[in-house]
Amino acid sequence: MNPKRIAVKIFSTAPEAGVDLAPFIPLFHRVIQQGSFEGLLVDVADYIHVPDGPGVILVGHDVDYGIDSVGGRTGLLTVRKRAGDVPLAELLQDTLRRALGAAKQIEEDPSSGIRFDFGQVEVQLLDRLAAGNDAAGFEAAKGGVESVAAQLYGGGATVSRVTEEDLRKPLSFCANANQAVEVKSLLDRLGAAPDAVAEVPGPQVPGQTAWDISVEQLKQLRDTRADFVLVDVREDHEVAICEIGGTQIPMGQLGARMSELDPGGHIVVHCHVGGRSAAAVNALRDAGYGNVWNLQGGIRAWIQRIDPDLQDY
Amino acid sequence: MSQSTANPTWKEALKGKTDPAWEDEIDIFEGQIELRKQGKLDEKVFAETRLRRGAYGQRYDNGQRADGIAVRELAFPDAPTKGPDTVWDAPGMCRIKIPFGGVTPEQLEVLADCAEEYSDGILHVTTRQDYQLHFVHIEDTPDMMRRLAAVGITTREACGNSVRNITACPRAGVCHTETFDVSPYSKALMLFLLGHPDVQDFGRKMKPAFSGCQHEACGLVQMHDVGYVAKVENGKRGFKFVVGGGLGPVPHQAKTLYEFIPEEELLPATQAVCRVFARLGEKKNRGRARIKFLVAKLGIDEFRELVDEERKTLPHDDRWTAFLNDMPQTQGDAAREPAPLPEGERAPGFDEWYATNVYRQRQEGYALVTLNLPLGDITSEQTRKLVDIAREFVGDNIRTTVEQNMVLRYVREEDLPALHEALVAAGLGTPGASTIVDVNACPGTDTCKLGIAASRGLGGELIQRLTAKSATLDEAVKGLRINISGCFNSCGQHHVADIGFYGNSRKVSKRTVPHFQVILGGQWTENAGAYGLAVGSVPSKAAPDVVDALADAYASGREKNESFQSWTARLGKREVRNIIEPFMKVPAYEDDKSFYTDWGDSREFTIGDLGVGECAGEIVSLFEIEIVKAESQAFDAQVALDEGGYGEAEELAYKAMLTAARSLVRTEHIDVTEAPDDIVAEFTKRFMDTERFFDKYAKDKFGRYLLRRHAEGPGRCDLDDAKARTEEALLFIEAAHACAARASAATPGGPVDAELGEQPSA
Repeated sequence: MNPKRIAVKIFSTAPEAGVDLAPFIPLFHRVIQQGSFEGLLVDVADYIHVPDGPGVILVGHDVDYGIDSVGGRTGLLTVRKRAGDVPLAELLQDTLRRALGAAKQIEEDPSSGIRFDFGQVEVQLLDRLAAGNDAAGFEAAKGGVESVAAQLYGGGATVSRVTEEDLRKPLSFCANANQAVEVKSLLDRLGAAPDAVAEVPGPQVPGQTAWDISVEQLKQLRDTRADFVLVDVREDHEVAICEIGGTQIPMGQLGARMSELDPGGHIVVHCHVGGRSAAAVNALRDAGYGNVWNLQGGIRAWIQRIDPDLQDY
Repeated sequence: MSQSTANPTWKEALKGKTDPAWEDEIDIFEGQIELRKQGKLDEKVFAETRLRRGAYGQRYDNGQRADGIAVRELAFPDAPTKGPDTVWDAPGMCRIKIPFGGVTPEQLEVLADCAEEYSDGILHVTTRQDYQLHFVHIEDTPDMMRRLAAVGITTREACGNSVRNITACPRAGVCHTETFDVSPYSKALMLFLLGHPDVQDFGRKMKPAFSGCQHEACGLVQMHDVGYVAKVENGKRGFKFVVGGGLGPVPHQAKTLYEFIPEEELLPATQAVCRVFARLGEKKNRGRARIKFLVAKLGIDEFRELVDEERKTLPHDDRWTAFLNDMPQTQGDAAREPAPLPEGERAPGFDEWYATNVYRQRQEGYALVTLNLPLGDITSEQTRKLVDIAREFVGDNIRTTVEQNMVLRYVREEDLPALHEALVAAGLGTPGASTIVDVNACPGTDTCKLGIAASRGLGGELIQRLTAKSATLDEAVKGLRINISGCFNSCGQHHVADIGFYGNSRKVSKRTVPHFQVILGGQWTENAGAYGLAVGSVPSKAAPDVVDALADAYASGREKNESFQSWTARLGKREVRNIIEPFMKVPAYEDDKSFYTDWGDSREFTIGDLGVGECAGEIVSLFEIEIVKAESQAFDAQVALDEGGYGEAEELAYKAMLTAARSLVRTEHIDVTEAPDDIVAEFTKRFMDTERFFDKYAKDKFGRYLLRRHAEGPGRCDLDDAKARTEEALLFIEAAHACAARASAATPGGPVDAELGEQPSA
């Protein structure tokens, strides 16, 4: 079965408690600015006024991410669309990887105020023609969902059908880990993104700041011995894993140590994937540093495209 | 990706379950999408084609978006455009026409499915009783249309330069003050005009509305291009017919075309108006192309004379009166026997809801119940719950309203407490319908290419603030109406509200600040009988405080029973402006950055995202629209040929030539029938005998392809035959294009108009 559209919902740890949705508007706009979720992201749709509605949606071309309360339970609803003719299991793996990656970043953002229960996911098949909410649809989809649930949660995983009470709803499943899980290891089990959908923002995704440079451009600057300063805003333990030289100023110290940098000089900032460095570039530009640039995709892009011998993390 | 299995298609699944003509139209549209992808269809022609199918553009579909830092290219995959500066893969909006707002439970279920599978799970009710789905991909639209068509809903002519949805009062048929039920007439007119040849060549859209009575707000006919007010003279049913109303940047009140036309004249009189508009209406300058400009230019008396003359020349059509013998069934009967509301204890919230959301019908023992949808939005999940409620209590009697709400009709009064409980459980029991908390707003910057300020963002904020204090609001203030448009084009109908807003912007020390123009004292009753006046522009973030200040001033300053409209008129513009003056100032950026962003949007404000609107549609001549059909038939012939369907290919190729010939004939003889004999005769007389179809070198060669096939019939229909016919069809279509181009070169403004690329000027 190759459904055209599916969704994965990861519930909040207190799904019935209600979540303050307002902070997700700026949060999702930042995600677009920094290209920090997978997919081609377009805009933010605000449905806060609708009770038990789709909340705030980060709308994309191939994927939507929404803080959704439909059904009275709040969670991150990741809708995968325009994937082409792809078997369910493959599409589900892809959707879960996007969903878990986004959920992890949302949790890490202090403004979100939300925690997710990664021990269960709801899978909705939003294609009634390919996957009807009936016995035949259930039988056709069950195997695919179970195989991915086992890959994600191991042998103890269980899968049940959840929308039998109203056959007009999309055919949906709930996959349960039945044990404590950690999002990082779930992502590891799903494997890295295929080339077509790079996890790390590359040139094909929107920029992270208005002042992005690519890893290729950085290499060129170095090769031509251009006069510039490279600033690494990562933490010590990250620098210990891998580094590409430059001055290390961890993000938390940037405010205090800004004066170490020349306001008139050329500065390139980098971090792990480009999010923190984007913030640093914005802060420096706000403070009057006129020639500051962000390394798009961070050191991971450098490792992937320039120096694969470095240790990735 | 691993090997795929063939998915079933909606086309196969729904084959035979739809009106065959609708099925064909959608197949043709799907073919046009394919042609456009292959680069075989011009982008402007495709744009107008999709608009006439209800597939509209949306903000950022030019592939650019200001993300709050800078304007970014949105890296959509490479593909053809779906119109000038319109990226193929960019999400779009689909408008779904709901004539007179009538929907059934079965239709709502399909709408809910479509919203989940192609959109974002929200059905949005518009100010013209349509539904809109947003963020829809163009390639999903044919399947969506098929699913809707299978339950009797068409999106045809929901956008573009055509006759848009026909609206009517949601109380029609159950109202105390109406003359008679206008719903069947609105349905008959809709069916008559849908795809009618006389409505295909407008320079701009036409919006009709029906009203059951003169003095209520009812159908708001005074602000419509054409409007009908039910009237009885000498015991005979008919209508007062008004024309040339409209909002937009320059609002016009409609003029009375006829004080009374009998019911059998409803269709032909409208057809005559359409012909006059198609012939004389402005085509080049879209900013002046609505019928209101034509009526204003000619004066209503001269316009009436032209319509009278046109009416005399119309070839008789049985459909003009056929519907009167067999009045179209609009909706089902009451699902339950009537019974009064019993005495007794009420659930909390019931009385408040009853006061604002329940209207006692003319039919004893029944009530009309309004669902106050926030900004017109309802989720798919809620829609299914509503369907269950409707099936239990009212059957088919559901309508959308121009106040972006829905109503249930024929609710037995005895059932009101149970219904209220069920609606509350579904999140649909919000009180305050048609009061100050029932704010109406167009999409604005949320999704509209023309939006300047966040009409929905402001609307959401006002709903939240006003609901929180609704218990303490003065009764007169509670009754005020707030309407918000994102720009001056007034889709939010701000001219007819007590307090109206439309979005604009102001420069404040090199930064752009979102603002709303305040419009006060519009009249909703008397069919939108008077428009409000602009009193000044306030920063978007100050707009809620302006509402508070106006409400306070009105509550304390009004004389007994004085309406808001009379109060503002009595105060005068200067005094009113004094009330809003304190809120007009914008604090410095350093002092309060919040003024530099809009409601519901954290990005620093810019108007750099504004696009070119598609409200106006693409100005494409009738010939260009119709020849597209021939092209898709020829394309289908090629497909059939490849698949070994020789007989089918031969037949399609012949049809393609007929369609192309007819497109040419129609440029000068609009009434030519679809009968092949008729088309060939007219084509021969007009284009072959006159040698106008002749190629400089090949002379009559291409024209004879059609004449020969028509005279000799299909022949053997083997591979060679089918191949030859398909080739001939392609050459014939080319020759038709060339012929049309020659004609337009000879007569400026002819079939292929040099003004094709003109952008809207207002």
